[in-house]
Amino acid sequence: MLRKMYADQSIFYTIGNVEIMKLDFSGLESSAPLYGGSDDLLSDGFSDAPSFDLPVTSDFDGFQKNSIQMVKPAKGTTTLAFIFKEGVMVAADSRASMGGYISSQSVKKIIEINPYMLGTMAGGAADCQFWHRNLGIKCRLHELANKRRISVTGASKMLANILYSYRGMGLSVGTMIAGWDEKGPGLYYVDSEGGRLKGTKFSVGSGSPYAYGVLDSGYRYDMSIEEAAELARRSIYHATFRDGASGGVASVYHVGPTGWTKLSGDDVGELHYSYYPVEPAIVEQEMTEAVAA
Amino acid sequence: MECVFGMVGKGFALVVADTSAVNSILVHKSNEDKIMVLDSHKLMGASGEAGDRAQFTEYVQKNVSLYQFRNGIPLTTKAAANFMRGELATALRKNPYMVNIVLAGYDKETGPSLYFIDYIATLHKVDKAAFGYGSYFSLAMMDRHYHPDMTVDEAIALADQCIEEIRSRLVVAPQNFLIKIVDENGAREHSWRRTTKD
Amino acid sequence: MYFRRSIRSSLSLRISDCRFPLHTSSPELHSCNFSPTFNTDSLTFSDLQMSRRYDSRTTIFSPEGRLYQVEYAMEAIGNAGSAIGILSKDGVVLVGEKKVTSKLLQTSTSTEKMYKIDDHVACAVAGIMSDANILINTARVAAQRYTFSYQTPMPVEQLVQSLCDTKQGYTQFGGLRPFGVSFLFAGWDKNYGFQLYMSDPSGNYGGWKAAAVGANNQAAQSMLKQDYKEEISREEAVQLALKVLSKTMDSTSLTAEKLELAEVFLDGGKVKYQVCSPENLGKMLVKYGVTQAPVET
Repeated sequence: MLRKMYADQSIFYTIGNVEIMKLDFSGLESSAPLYGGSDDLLSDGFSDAPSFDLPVTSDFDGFQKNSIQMVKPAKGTTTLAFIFKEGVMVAADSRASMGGYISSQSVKKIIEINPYMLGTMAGGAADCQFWHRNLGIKCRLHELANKRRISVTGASKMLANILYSYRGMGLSVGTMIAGWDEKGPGLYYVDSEGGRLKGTKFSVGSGSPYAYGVLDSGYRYDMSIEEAAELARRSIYHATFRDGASGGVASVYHVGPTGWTKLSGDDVGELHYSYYPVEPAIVEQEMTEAVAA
Repeated sequence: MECVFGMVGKGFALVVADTSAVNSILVHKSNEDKIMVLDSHKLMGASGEAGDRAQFTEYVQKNVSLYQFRNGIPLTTKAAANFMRGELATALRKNPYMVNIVLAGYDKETGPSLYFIDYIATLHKVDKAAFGYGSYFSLAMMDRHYHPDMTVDEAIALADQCIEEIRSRLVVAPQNFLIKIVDENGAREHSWRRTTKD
Repeated sequence: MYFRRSIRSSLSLRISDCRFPLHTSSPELHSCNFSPTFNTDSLTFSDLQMSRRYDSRTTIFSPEGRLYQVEYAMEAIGNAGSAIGILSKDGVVLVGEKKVTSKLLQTSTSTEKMYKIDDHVACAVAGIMSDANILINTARVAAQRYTFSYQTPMPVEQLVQSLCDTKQGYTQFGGLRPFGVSFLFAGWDKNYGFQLYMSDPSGNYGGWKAAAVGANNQAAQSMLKQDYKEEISREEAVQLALKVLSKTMDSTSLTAEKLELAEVFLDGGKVKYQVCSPENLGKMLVKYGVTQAPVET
């Protein structure tokens, strides 16, 4: 049996001269290919990076800028997470908008990486979903290889390194990794510029300044789970009230020592009326239906 | 609105940096440590793009450690500074690191030294250095009041004056500052200057 | 490393070329053409029979756990001009025996045995000169690359280590033969002061107080072990080196043309590498009483 390794990590097994199986690991590539090439000795046409013909235009730089702007989604969302006595509380809205158009009111912005870690989505939905799924794979492989769960520090650093290697290429990701590991609750903010911050309280997205206001004023470390959930829900609600790009459903998750659980998912319109019920107005004159003669 | 500055005194070198992590108008964190301890006797204060700052400083730190493991002797401050500059220069025309660095170190033979390393791989050995918006205020202050062979107390007093100036004159001044010092006993945290508790 | 098919097939041709029947009348190995001269004193006849199967590639061990190609390389050096290095408390002394001493040779400033690698490191060579040139160039480039990165002179041990890593590569992969050179490195750096290192074709190196490479190096080494004293001065080291060399050299007469002498020492805080001129060398030989009467030709 001859085994040949190609530069793109796909392994062909051959018996005699017939190739019988191909395992493609390109989805697990964790960093952008450097300069798009591989060692000339080893490349044989299978492993070329995908390429396309350049458009014929007089101002290519301008064209490039415009096309990046077109696909670059504004981080129209509100997500937040904070650590408190009982673990980590994670909450997000569920609106997806493209400029002035609301494309969906029911987007899942809290991504379940594995049963004890959550990631939030802000920025490009595809980018966030794909890279969180990829991170989930890597965390699982880490577990299998090391016989213990990966820490939140490790998972966030893996994601930050991946995003850093793609910097400048147009990824748009502003995520928080929240989880519970051997050291207790952990919360990290990771973004597509390659930044990574450890903290106890974060909010990300276009509605985050509004959420911060409510969150900062109501936060105490020793809250119960219900109090923390209510604080999270309230912060999301207030952000969706003022920010046009946030809305839909406010989902609240809790990460505790045994993993995460979804606590609630309330439509923010209904939340509004539950916080601020409509007082029946006193009408001076009321027209009643005339009794049929 | 990042502020990093440093100065050399008698037998020690000082690095002061703000501790805010900012994203446009939002302050994500006000206790972020931006002065990395490179090895037992070197400090590196870095300012610039968030991802580049963390990744580049960690890359340098790991390489400095690797050198020490491989060869049994630590790098001198001069060698570390030149190594950093070389890395920035190599990456400059491909994939530049947008980081400015103030490197402070203490060597047994040559004493304390301070190096100013720009994001375009400028390297200067200096007595006092500053980066960021804060440099507009702290550089002039240091030029006026600095003199060679200051004691630790004199240097800390000068650093405090600079911080006060930044706080009063910079429109969006960082809330907290961190001071680290390196001398013959090693590199360590000296003190914080806080206005908010995070 | 990528193994090229062509090299493999050419090597396999060589094996079949050298397949002899087990009983040969004479141990002459004319048709085995992978070692220049074969000193049968060091390997027994049965060694030769066994070794024939395992010696044409560097990349395989013999059943006794030996790498024959590497050992053959050391044999080659055993026929080359010898070199001796001695570490003293204020410098390092390198002495070499020149093998090529024809009147017709155009002697210029270039030397046969001593080479300067960097301002603070020099080396003496024993073995195949063309191999030595490649390695010396590699060492020079490595030293400059270090200075380019760190703006300080490369520590001597790191230089020797990087060169030996290169040499080791040629004993493990690629299918190429090892370098047939042994070096004596002499240098100074601020971490460990004056240092003397010896390296051989296997890629091993060691720090020595006194070392000899090349022809009769065992005899020279044992003589050095007897006569070397800690804390000898540079002058005494020169005397010792010349004495040992005169005893172990094959040639009948010892004149200044047959030797090279170089010293590495500190002068005014800077490292100096000085090759002794033939006149001074002649005077020193007379002074130490090691010169032999030149044979009238």
